Amino acid sequence: MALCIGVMGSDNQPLLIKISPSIQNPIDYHYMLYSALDIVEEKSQISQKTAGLNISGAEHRDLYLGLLYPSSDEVKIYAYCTNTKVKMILIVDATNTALKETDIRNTVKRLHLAYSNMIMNPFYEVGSPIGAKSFHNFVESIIAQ
Amino acid sequence: MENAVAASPSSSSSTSGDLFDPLFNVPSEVLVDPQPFIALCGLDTVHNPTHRIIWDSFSTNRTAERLPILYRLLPTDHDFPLSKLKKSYEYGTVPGGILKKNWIRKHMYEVPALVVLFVDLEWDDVAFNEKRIACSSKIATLRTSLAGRSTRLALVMIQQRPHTLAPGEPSPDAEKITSLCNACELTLKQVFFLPHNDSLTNYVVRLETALFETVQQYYLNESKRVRGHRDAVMRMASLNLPLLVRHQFKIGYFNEFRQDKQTSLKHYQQAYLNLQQIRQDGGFEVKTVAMIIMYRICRLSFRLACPLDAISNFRKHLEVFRTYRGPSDLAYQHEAWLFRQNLTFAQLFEEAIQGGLIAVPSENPGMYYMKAADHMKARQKNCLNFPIQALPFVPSAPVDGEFYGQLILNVPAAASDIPIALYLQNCERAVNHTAWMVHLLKSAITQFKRHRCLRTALMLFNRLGDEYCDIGAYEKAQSLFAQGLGEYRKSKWSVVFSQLLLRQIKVSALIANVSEYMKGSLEAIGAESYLQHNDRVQLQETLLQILAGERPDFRNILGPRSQLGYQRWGSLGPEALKCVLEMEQLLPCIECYCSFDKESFSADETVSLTVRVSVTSPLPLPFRGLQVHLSSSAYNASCSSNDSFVVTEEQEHVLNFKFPPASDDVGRRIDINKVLLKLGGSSQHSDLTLVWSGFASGKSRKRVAVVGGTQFRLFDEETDAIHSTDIARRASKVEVSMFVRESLLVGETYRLPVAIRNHESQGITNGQLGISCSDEAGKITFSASFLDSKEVQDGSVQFTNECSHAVANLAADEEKEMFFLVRCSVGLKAQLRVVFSYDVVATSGSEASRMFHCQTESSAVLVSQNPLHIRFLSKEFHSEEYPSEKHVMPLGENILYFVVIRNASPVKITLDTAELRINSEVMTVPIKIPSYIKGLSLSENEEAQELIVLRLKESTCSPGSAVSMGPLVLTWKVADVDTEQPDAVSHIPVPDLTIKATSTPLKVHLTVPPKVTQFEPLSLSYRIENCSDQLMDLYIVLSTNDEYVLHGEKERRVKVGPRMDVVVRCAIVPINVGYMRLPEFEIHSDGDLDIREWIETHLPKTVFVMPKEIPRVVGPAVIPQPPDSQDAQFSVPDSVVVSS
Repeated sequence: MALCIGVMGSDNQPLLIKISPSIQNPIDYHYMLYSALDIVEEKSQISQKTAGLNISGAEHRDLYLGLLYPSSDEVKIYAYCTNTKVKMILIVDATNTALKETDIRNTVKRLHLAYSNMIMNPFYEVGSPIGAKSFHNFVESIIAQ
Repeated sequence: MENAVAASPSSSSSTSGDLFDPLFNVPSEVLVDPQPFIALCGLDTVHNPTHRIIWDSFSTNRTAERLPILYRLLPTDHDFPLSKLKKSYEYGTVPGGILKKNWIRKHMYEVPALVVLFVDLEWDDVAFNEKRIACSSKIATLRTSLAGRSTRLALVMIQQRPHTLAPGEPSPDAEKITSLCNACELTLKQVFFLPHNDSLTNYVVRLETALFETVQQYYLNESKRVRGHRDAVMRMASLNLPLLVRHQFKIGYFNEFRQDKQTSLKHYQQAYLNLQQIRQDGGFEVKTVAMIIMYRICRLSFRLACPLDAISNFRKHLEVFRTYRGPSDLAYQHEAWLFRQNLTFAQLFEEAIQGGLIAVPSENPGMYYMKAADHMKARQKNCLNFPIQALPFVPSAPVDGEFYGQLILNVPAAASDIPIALYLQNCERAVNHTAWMVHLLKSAITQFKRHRCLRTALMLFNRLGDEYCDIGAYEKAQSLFAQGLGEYRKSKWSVVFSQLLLRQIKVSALIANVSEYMKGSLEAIGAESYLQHNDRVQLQETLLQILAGERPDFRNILGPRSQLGYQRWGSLGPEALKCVLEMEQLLPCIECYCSFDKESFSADETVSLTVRVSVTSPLPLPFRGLQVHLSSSAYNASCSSNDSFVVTEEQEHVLNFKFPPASDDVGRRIDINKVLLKLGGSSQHSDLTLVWSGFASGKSRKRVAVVGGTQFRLFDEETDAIHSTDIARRASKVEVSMFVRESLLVGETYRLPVAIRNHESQGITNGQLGISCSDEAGKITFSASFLDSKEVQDGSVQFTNECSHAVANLAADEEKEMFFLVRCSVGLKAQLRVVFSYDVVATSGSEASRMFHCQTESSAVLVSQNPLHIRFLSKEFHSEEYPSEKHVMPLGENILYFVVIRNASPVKITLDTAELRINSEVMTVPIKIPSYIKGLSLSENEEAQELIVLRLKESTCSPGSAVSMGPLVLTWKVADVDTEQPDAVSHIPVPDLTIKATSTPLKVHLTVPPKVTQFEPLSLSYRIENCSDQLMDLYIVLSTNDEYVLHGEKERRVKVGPRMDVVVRCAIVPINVGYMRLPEFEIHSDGDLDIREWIETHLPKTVFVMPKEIPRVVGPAVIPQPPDSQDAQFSVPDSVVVSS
């Protein structure tokens, strides 16, 4: 499904980067993820500004930031930014027309859930590279889908 | 031979300076917005100044508020382009191309919408008829020249003396106008007058507006004419698509002349749709025309403030032509087209931003510049893959054809059999792709930086560096890579970092930059780098070669370019290999850990320091020595080792340094400034020093492992490494104690006893005892004048805020008592601190005996309070009023001055003397009264009074002024303590006296006997004193009441001579017991004498009458006492009154 999945911490440091084994030049995808952080920061600021308060008073905003570069023609980059500023970026092949936006949205939500489960591990230091096997396996399964 | 090939013309300007590209340039005429074209004839701007001014008014200062019109100055006999014969359109024939190349240029610059003829013609011109004929002939010439065109004509009469007409008023020269119109075959609407006067510019603007309407009509008619052709084409059974596109484009263009952007956009979009239906092989002409139409569409969309439309149209445009790749041997052409599309769109976008559009990071011109660079890169790759086959001639760039997208190749006749593809490929080789790439990447970086995409810009820095590498500009590449490295290192993007690091190492090797190369290598071979193990080993082998003083061959690293690097390194001198490398900002393969063993060392201890060196490189690393630089350079020799050692990944190297602290550093902090590590084995060829600094900043040097960094290890101790240590004093073994009384009194001089006991095993020397009070500086003062003596002599005792005094040497176990004098100026509570410092010779551990400076201190709380509450009261000597604190006193009279002293402290005090210091120039003491208070002891809240009689000197005082008094000097001491404490002397400020005028001419004195009994006659004698120099004739009235019986005259007349007195006597018999009012004494005189007020305050009003016999009663008798019996002692006998 995805060509590349990146999870970045609140200081934009990489926590986990997985690239599909079919990719010839994985370094390009590292650069792509790094550049995409510019847009993620911009978009998450906008979404913070427009966020309203719901009835319970808690801040409600959409964590899913959607397509980052609307005019990109080779790959499509989707992003998700949690309330703790953990960024999840998904790069998919733009020619794969079977992929719907809702699939992407569900996938990143599942990714968020997996991340939440992972950080419950008391031995994991928040902000350090992720070593948990289960999380790695989950991310690999999304790429292989 | 001429060969028409579908390709792009090269007749357009490049916006990128001198960069050349023959393919797909947007024609220069398409790049500008069309403006209506008006030709101005008949203006002689060279010889006629009036005409010059008129032309300038039209042509210059064309700001945004002026109408968009293009003016050209043409002679009357100008040859306009011939109109083609209006053949009946053969709508079915296929034209030679889609858009004729010269059409836009022709309508923009050559075929005017309106020709305006200017003539100098006044109404009252005598030769009006001749000029009319000349004018009509000029008009006729223009008509002939414009035959077949629907260009409008207009006549403007330049007049110095115009008629000014009210609206509706018939012109006096109506006949002349009509004749002129008839002669020129013009309607009245085509003739204008231009008065030439001061407001010429305004007239020109008005004329311009009128002309613009005509012009609009012209372009509307033209677009309608083309629309007719288009409709005819559309009615055909088989659509002639190229013709349809052409017509749609033309309609759009004519509407642009009319500034009707919406309509233009509609027709351009229609043209674009029709164009897509044309399927030519390869589609080169279609691509060119599509590019032109899309350029106008995007430009108009941006102008109409619809940037999203522009972007979406552009994206669709690229999508449509994505598959039009063309023949494979000319694949570069498609990339060239894509590159050009992105470049022109980026430029349009940038232009729109300069016009006020706000872009977002995800959609900014930089994206398109970047894509243009991508396509240029692909084009370059394709170009490099061309088969190498030289041509027998130098190919020149293709020349334009008749239509856009068709161009002509100049192939010599002798080489006509050469394939066209080969010819074009050789043309392409002339393009400087790298220069284009650099230009595009720089533009993209500028845009990304402007739109807050710093990371994307940084990525392009790396690409730019790669381009510089390709053309051999390695220095530029290196500085670009260095920026990226710093950022990636900081943000922990290790994969990207390592990949860039390898490039940086290669570039450094090629330019023989030793320090950068070494830094890069040390980072790259560490466990944190993401390079392959093999690469790391190769890098380290080369590094070891350099360390061993060998000339490195970079075959492993540089591959084919290794020869260049080998040569460059060979030319390096031996001093090039001596460098100092700062490790602080890097992530090298060497970890250097340095820590003191304790956070604090005592002066008699040995400071110890541990340095650990570990490496993460795949092979062992040799070192030649290590130095630690502390904040005090005196220790550098002790913290240095020149022994060689080798560190492997498994085994860290530990060094310990020990040194005794210098006595100067006692009480200071010692920091680790730097650690210097010499890299390399025994070879003397290289001298590389690695420096770690930044220990003092206190930041944790613990590192966070990066993604996938599995073999990375952390020093656990690193987090609590001690980078600075305190050198503390040797602990003191002398005890100091002081004894403060529970409560001190303000002003008292207290002898504070301090005891010193020496528990050291040796005698102490150089003792110094000091006392201070930090929180109440200035309010407590000390003196060490009588440190050793028990007796205090009064005299020159200096009190200071703090004092210290040398103490004689003390032998072991000796004890000594000393005294400080303490004095408080206000009541307070403060902390006293006694410090004793001394030198002692002692041994520290196994070392020889050394002299140590030690210090010990003791503190105690001191409470003080002011015991003296003093009030000052005064009254006039003769006045009947009570003493008060008003202190208003008359001149020349005696004053009674009371000092009331109250003890407010619980400590009993003994008063000694109270001396009121007076200014003897203005005041005298007429009566000396012995002091009653000397030796008087006051307990808490007891009071004592001192009385002083004063007199103001009349000669030196003026009424109304104030006389300063005092101070009162009070000497006292604490009662019931040993006599060692000296007397306290308090200086108490005294309030000022205000002088009152006493110019009364008369004084009356009444003497009442001390005892008055009921029913016994009481004799009253009023002595009247005349203080003036005149005889006074007085009338005296004594009023009576029923409390007594008066004997004698109630009214009488007396005469008193100057400076004389007379006594008036009477007797009264009191009737009642108790207070009795005395007769009211009134004096009347002939003059304006009024001494009622004086009498009111000076004569007694009542007297106490005792009963005649004390009645016998059972129990204690209650005898009424006169009030304020205390005052009785002050009622001075009459005899002491001194009359002047």
